[in-house]
Amino acid sequence: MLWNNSEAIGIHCSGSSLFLAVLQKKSKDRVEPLHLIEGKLPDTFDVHALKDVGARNGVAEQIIDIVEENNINSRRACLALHHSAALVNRSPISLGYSKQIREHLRWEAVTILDAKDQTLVMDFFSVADWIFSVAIREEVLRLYQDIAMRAKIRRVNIDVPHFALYNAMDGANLLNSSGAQILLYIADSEIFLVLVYNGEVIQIGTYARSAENPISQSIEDGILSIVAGLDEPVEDIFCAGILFDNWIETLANKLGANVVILDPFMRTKKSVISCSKNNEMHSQFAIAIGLAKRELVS
Amino acid sequence: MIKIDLLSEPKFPWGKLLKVVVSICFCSVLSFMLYTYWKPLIVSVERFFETMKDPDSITELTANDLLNETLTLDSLIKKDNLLNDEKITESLSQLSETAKLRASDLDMTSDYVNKGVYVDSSKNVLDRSSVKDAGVREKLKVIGNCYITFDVVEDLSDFVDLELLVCRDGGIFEISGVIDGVENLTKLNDVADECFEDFKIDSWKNFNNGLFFSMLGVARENKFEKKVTIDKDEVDDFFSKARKLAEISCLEDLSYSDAVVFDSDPDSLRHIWHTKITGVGSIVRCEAFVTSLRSLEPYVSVSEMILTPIISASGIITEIRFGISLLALDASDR
Repeated sequence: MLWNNSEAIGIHCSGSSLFLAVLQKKSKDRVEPLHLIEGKLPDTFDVHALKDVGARNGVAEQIIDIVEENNINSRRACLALHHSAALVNRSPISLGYSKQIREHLRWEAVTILDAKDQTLVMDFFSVADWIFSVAIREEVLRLYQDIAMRAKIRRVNIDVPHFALYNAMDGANLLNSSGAQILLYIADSEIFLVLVYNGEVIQIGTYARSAENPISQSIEDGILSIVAGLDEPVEDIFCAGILFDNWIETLANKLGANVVILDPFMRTKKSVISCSKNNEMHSQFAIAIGLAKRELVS
Repeated sequence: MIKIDLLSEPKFPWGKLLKVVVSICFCSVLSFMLYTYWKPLIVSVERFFETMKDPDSITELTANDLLNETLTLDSLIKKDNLLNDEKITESLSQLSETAKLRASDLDMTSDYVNKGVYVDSSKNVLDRSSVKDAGVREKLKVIGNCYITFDVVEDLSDFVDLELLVCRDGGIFEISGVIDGVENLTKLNDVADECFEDFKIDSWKNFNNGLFFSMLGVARENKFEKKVTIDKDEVDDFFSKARKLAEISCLEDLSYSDAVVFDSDPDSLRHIWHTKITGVGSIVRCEAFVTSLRSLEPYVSVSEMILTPIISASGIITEIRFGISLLALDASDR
């Protein structure tokens, strides 16, 4: 079987669901979905399950089943990290030289995670005013690689779900080059938030969510505090995942923002209320789509 | 498109290898040149030192010197058979004139050199002081009266859980924290009166059975204001020590290491962080740290301490920034 390099897979586990997106590169900046498949895992997959060989095997088998059933040729995939598997930190660029800031962020990560420097894998990226760091324990990284190996994925990358969410929307011409926008992904047990300012990520957040208490005041307060320091009001809240929660409207009213569906393949903004089933489905796969997209778009 | 890369295999360090190869080549060439030009180099150095001799000792050409020059000329004459006697005589008289002129030149040069040395050295002194004035010291003037930071921290720590202590330009202190009860208000006022010429408390709020306050104050002029000059290496060394000490004492409490990465229960995590953040400002928990900083005197004093809780930089984790900037001290000025 020949592997297809113009295709890539994105895999995002959320609760007991596994979202798998296969995208195909059509042109330099254009990708199209080939498959968007949701699989059910035997148990909830979180950081505790990650340490369990049986659970990792369960995820890998689910991936193999989907790949074989749908005759997916690509062996190039990107997995989403569990939100608590990596530490994302940031520091203003204005504090000094990039090298020193990176060194400081590394020190912070080593200190916060109580890790020895050599047991921590880190990468950095910069936007206009901030330097972000991503830190992950090497042993955790090996666990994700183990899943990939069991799933017979030859070429694997891993990414933070928030960045995948941003990547899903990047290039869709819906992120404004000026002003503030929020990307929200609402899952069963967590909410991912990405604050975009002038088209760039400037902050991310994760909030725990439970079925009994789908949204608490503290989460709303948290989101409001993140946007409090902005010079400009938030224009849009792009929502993905579980869309019909009343609190989104409440939050949007407080911020004076529009609630828009986060469909990575959408070309124009569409409100959540008027969106189609197709938009809704795309939004559920937004993180998986972003993961696959980063493998194809330079 | 954000592309973090956490799985890239370590690359072969071609860059480092290239640097090593270039360094070896450079050293080899240098060694070869040194080997080849060793003797001329020694001669040049000797000549250089000869020229550095006291000008007075070479100002006047003696008869012997002239004789030597004549002998040199004689040897040249022997080599050049085309020169006739007249030319030789003419040359000798010219040489004598030149020698006189040169001796006179040397006298003038002697004065000039002496003056020159004097001017240069005074210029150097001026340069050094102007660098001092325009450089570190000027910056320190801007820093103002932050040298009392330690005293403020020490005085307040008995009854205040400090959350933020910033000393800004001109010795303007911004302080916030929590005091246990109303009875400590008097203590706060006393410390403020003692340390600050002018202060105002911006806000009071009930907080966890205590009183949260935020205040601004201008440090009193202090006759023991310290002067500064330490070089960059000393500053780096201090930061390195401070960082290690911070890691050992204050931030030790901030780290934890169970679960894969974090405790999965966000509420307990939030609680842990809240406790730690409020703890960092507390002198009780960070006494060792602050004491350690004090122990680094007389070289440095803390001029600015900033403890800033920032909500959710990464997921549910609360980020803190612990900023310290320093007033460098010159032991010789104390």
